[in-house]
Amino acid sequence: MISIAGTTDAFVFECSRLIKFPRIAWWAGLAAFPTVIMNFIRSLNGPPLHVYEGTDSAGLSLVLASGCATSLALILVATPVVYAELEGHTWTYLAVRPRGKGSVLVGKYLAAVVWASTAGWVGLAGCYWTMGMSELSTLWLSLFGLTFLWSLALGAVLVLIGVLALRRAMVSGVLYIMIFEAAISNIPAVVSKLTVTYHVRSLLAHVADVAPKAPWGPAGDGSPGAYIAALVTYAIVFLGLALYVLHRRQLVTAQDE
Amino acid sequence: MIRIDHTTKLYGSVIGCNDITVNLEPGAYGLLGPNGSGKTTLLHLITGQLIPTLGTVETLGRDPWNNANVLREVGFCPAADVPYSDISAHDWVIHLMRLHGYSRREAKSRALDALERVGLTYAMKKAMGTYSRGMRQRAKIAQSFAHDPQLLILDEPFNGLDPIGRHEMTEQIKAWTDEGRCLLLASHVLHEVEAVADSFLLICGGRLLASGVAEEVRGLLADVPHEIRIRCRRPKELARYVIESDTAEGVRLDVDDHAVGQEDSGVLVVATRSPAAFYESLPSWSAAEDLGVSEVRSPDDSLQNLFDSLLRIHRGES
Repeated sequence: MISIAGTTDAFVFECSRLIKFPRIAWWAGLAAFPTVIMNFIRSLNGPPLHVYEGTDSAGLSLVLASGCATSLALILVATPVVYAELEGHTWTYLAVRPRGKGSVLVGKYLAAVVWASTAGWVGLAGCYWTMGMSELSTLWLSLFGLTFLWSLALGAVLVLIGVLALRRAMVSGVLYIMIFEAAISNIPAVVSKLTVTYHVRSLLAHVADVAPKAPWGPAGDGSPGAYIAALVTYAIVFLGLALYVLHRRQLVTAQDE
Repeated sequence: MIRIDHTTKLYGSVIGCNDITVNLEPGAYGLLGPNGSGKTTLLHLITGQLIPTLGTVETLGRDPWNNANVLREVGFCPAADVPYSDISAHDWVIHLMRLHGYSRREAKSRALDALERVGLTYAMKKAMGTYSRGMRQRAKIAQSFAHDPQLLILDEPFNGLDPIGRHEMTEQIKAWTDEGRCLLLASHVLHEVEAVADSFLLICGGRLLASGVAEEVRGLLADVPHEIRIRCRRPKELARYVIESDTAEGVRLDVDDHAVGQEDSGVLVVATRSPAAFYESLPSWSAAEDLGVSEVRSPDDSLQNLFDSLLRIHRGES
């Protein structure tokens, strides 16, 4: 069902499509979003943010880069991995290949992670430049890693939603992020620990040395390795579930006849 | 090659295939039916993209659902148009060959060979969005046989091809079957199928109406009245002879409005179960009353009418 060669080729094939217009225009818009917002905030506040709120500015940058730019990029690219092929009537060509379904799903997921992460990274770099910092701190460097982990875990969740919901994949993806990653992750209860946001926030709190009372919401004070492992496990488990659903699901409907 | 045993496929309350049973030995087959008759459902069952609601399907001796071993030996060209508009046929076919499990070098070699065979080498590096429909059709067909499958399944392969393209594609498919390989070609246009396949499956409303070589299918219509059209000067007189002779099941007079009062003023349509007796009597009737018969035609001899007749029976019209 899945092969490394097939996955690699699907990844390269999808990347070659993602760097063409209009997707590259979308990417540029998303990547510029955090910088635009940060510039707007600066224009309201006057002096550089880091002068008086260094940790919060890092948190804000992460919210803008990961929470907004990367999440929107993932909704655009990771959520419709299967439905876009069904809608374009190209799914059948892939599904009749011995290693088609699984390889394409994983290859497209990886391409989406790269596409979204790079948009977030450019957004972070823009925020850093906007705030006029003198040196690149460990805290700021870690934001790039956190953006990647966020993209890795959330991308897998959205791919699963995409395989389950198909036609309503993007709406379902937006609802998931708003309900779980934005609202429930901020509830100081055990349920918030199930979200991707909680783990990323805990890692940020650890790097910023403000755990367990992070100013951005509930965060744990466990070891960073445990949070990283949890996020990678999220990615593997949700992607595995997506593969299982795809393997079992009949994706041809009467409307295709 | 393909064994379908009492197979039914439901999409909720919609019937895709209805209790189809057929056993196809290796060879070339045409799957004929009007649009929406269930051809594509049947092909999706054969290629393992659907699970039958009832019954079983075996392709190349195995259950095709999620079966990589079957997919490795099957080439499928779906009816759906519009492959990726921003990708070249060259990159697309290589990509599909990679998903088939070939190394990059082998995939490229097979893709180039297949694109050359369909005559698309000259444009293979251009984005498919710039292709005409016929060119996209060629790219689709190239991907279906680039991996040299045992069984080639083509769903409406002639869609969008110009007459020259159709001829070339027909020759290509004939060359494929002449090599002794298996083919299943679905179409709603009979003459396209006739050109490349000797055996037929006729499907309508999800049901298999008939299967076999053309003669076998005709044999199914032995009890169906044979239709003969006679153009003559005095069709009413001829009708009287036909009715008195008791050789006809039914007689219908089609008057040519534009020809009223002229010599060829009508066409008598006779439905008979004993056409030989009718043909034997017709000269004597014509000579006795000077009926002025100018044309005798029996459209039932063409496969198209055979197909139409089966559809009429299926719909309960005759």
